[in-house]
Amino acid sequence: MSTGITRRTPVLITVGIVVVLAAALLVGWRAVEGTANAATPGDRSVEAGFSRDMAVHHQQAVEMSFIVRDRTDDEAVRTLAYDVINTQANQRGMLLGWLESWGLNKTSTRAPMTWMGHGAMYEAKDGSLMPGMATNTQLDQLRKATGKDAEILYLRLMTAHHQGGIDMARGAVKTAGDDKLVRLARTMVDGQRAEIDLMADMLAQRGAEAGQ
Amino acid sequence: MGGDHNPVWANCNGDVYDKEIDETNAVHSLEHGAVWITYTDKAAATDVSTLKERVKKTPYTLMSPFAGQSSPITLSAWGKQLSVDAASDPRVEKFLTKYVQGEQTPEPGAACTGGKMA
Repeated sequence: MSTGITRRTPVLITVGIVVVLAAALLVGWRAVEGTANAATPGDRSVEAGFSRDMAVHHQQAVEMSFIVRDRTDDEAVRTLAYDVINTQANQRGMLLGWLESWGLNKTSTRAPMTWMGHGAMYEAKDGSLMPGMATNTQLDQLRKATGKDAEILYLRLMTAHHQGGIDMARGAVKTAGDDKLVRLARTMVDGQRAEIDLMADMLAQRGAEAGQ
Repeated sequence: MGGDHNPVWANCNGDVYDKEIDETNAVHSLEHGAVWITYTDKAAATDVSTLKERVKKTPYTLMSPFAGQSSPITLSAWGKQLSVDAASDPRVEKFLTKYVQGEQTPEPGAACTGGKMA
């Protein structure tokens, strides 16, 4: 009897090793798959909400910048606007590209800013859908202004726009889990803060300030 | 590298400058994700022309002489720097691959055109 056990032991050990290996592979595969799923934000995630809202928010900054480039010859303002156009149009492309790669729609029936939580709800008015966004009336004023008046109005509108954008980006930095999105949101906070300082100087040079 | 901020960036769309440029404009280019290659008169002429050709075909790079550096050739990205004696140093290509519009970029998406030409 003891001989029988001895003879069978190597077989049992082999079977045991195979079972353990198979289990380890299965657990490992599940873990990898789980991580992949966890890394794909869902329709109601902070990542999706931020990407959708910031894509809209950025688009208005691009639009305002195109307008002011047609309304003034001032090199400093035109250069700033050129910078905003390229940066925000490209960043908007990143946000929309992520939504696409996550298999999510570019828009949602949920109200803007919902992903930020209750304190952030914003009542849309006259085309201003999120904090900092200009109204249609203000955009029309910019379209009609020329020279220094257009420059000052643009700098004021963009300062407010950046302030709203920074708050949203801060919200994403605090609560989003997707590393690349958090990294981009952080660059928005730092970059737009630096531009607010620059615009304050530019307003001062024109005898104006950000507040009315 | 960091330093004073200038609202205007030096064009960095594969731009080669034969004279020294304003450092503050170049620093702004680094914010836009560019790699700036600088060299002194200690760099070999063949190395300088090799690097100029490399820059000319690489958007988001720029190159100019810079007498004030200790190394013959220096590559700078935002917060990153590499000093080498020769263009053939394999770290040059690695640096370019990693940092041209790399993760260190403070303003992703910003342009290397529309700034200052010199």
